[in-house]
Parts: sequence; structure tokens; C-alpha cells
Amino acid sequence: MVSRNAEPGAVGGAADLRNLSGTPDLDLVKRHRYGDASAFEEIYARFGPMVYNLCFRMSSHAEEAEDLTQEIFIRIHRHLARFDGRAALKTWIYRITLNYCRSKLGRKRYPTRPLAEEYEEEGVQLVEGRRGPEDRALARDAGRMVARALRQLKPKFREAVVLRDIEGLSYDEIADILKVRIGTVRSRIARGRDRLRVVLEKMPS
Amino acid sequence: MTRQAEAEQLSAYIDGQLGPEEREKIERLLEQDDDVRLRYEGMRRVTTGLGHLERLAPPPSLGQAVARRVALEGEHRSLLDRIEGGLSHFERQPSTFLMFSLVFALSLIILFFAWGIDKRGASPPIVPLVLEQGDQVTVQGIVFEQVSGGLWVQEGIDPAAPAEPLDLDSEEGRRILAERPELHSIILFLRYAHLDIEGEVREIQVRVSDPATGQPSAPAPGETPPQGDAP
Repeated sequence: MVSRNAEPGAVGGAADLRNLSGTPDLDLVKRHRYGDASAFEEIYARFGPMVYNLCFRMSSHAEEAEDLTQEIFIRIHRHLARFDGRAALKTWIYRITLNYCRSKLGRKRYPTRPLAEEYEEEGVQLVEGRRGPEDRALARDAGRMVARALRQLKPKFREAVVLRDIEGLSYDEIADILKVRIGTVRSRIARGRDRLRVVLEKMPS
Repeated sequence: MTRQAEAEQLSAYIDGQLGPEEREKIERLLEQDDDVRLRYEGMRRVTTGLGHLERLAPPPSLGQAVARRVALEGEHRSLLDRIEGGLSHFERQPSTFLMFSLVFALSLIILFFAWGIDKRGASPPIVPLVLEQGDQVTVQGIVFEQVSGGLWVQEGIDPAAPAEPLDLDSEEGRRILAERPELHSIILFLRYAHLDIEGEVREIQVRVSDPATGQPSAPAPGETPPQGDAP
């Protein structure tokens, strides 16, 4: 998984085809093609959190994110044998995820609730990383505010901002996933961030 | 610089996407313009806040649900694979495949002809053309109108005008037929007509033999003589 603090352009290339287990993504695809069920389990282990997080950020709803993730992995399973490796597997999965989210969430509107409530009610577990308790508290406060503001963005700006600032993808990767030009990516990220800035400035601290 | 262009420059500056010249320009602007600086700081807060969002771990039950769905999907697929496998058997054995193709092609040909026969059978019966009094026809470029008794009169000729019969078997008749070959078509099609021949109104008539007596007979009044195909 790519760190969100990675420098632009640092992601992509051969390094992306491997995860900590060292198996390249394409090898997993081949194993899946030959009927090795464990290959798909590994793909879920590798990309499940990424898909779930993206679904959660797009829907702002934990239960919906679970349903979306489940359906997306069924689609991945169905079409994985035809994956030709022209794009990175991660890019391909991001594309499926966003397309599915767009088709399912296009006309839905969820009531906005404070994220902390959602975390508690939905029993969402946070991956705490190496932060200390104080850092975590501060991060939660800042994150809560931004997450709330994020829900108010139009989907196309939200997608760009989430991919850049939460998933840490480069402009090139985002352009590849969204199938748009770099200039469009740049514009969407800028407009999304600027809109978030305005929303956050109006939000009571 | 428009507000949108400014936002794009600031956002790209945050991401280190600007070239040296653009970067210098933005840095100068940040030093000089308070509005731009405030906007930049606001955007910075946004990116920092988003960066602080914790990653969520999907619940373990989700992994189990996906595994269950995938297993179900696999069972469903295996049936389809068996069908596909059956078809691929033909690909492995070219002679069987060739045989299968031939039988299939033959079936198609049979079906095609059967369909053609069926279509012909289903087509409406041919209704003979019945011409009535007052109808006009053009034969060999000459317009005729049908008057009573199956008689066709050339356009421009008074139907009541006397017409001298032309015996087609006579020497004169054969000569005229030789000189005006179009008369063959007129006779064949109309059978009984008044027309202009050499400046005179002449009557031509094909006499139909009575099958009972063997005597030639003219068409009965009000009956159209048998019609041939117009040339």
C-alpha cells in the first residue's frame, strides 16, 4: 500500500507490483487464473482495506462501504482472469471501485453525522499506526472536521481529493484511474481543496 | 490571475508540481498578498487535515462475507466452465469440429430453403388482371381505350366510326404485318381492336376457335378477350 505521505511521482513502477509478502500482483493474477483460490484471498488482503476506505470516503457511511466493498470484490473476482496487466492492478481496482461507487451512490444522499458518532455506532476500527495518544486525539479532531467537510464536495472533486490527499496517489496515477488529463486532475484537486477550505472556515470549531 | 487559476497554482505549489519560475512567482505573491497567503494557509490546513484522517480497517466479517460470495460465484461459474469446456473439446479435435461445422452449415442451408419455400407458399395468389370498359392501355406506344364488347379503339378514333376488317391471313394482312411488326404485339395483347393503318380505320380481330364446333368465334359482347402479356 502506498504511503499517503509519499512524494508526487514516488509511487508507480515495478515497486508497486509487490506488497510486503513479495509476490508481484501479476503472479497473483496468474495463480487466480489457474484456479488457485488462495491467490484471491491474498488480493483481498492486499487491496481490501484500500477499497473499503475509498468506499467509506465516497459514501461516508460504514455499512454502505461494507456492501460496496463486497460487490466490488465480486466484480474483481469475475473479471480478474481477463486483467491484461496494461495498468497496475491497483489502478485497475481503483477504477472498478470508483465506477461502482459512482453508479451506486450517484443519486443517494446520506444524512451527515459527526464522524466520531459513526465510528462508535458502526464499530469502525481505526488503524492507529505509530502515533501517540495525544497525536491521535489531535488527528481525530482535525480529521473529523475535514471528513465532515469532505461530504459536501461534489463526487468528481471528492474523488480527486481523496485519491490525492488520503490515498496519496500521484497526479499521473489519478489521471490514469479517472481517465482524464493531468490538467483536469490538477484543476479538480485545486477546486476540491479550495471548496473544503471555504467549508472549514465556515464550520464552528 | 483568476481565482480559479490562483487556486490551481497554490494547490500545485503545495504538491510540489510547479516549475522553478512558477514557484518563485507564487512565493513572491505569498509574500506580497495577504489574501493569497490566507488562501494558501487554508488549503494547507485542508491537506494536513486530510492527511490526518485515519485509515479504517474493514471489519473481519467483511472478509468472510466476500469469501462466501466468491465461493458461491465459483460454483455458478463451474457450471458455465463445464459448458465452455465441452465446446473447447471441439477445438482440440479438428476433425470433429470440421464435421460439426459441416452439419451445422448443411442445417443452415436446409433451413434457408425451407424458409424460402414457406415464404413462397405464404405469398398471395396471382390475381389475373381484368380490364374493363373505359380502361386504357398502351401497346407499342399506341394508346387504346376499351369500349363495349371487348373492343379496343385507338386513341383519337371515333368508336362509332366504321372500320374495315383486316383479314390477317390475307395477302394484304401479311404485307401489313410484315411492314408493321408492332402489330403482332397489338394483336397478341388486345385481340380485337380498331386502329389506324395506312390512314384508314381498320378492324383487327383474332378469332378464337370454339372447342365444341371448331368454328372461329368472336368474343362475346361484354367479355374481354383473353389477355396476353404486354411487351
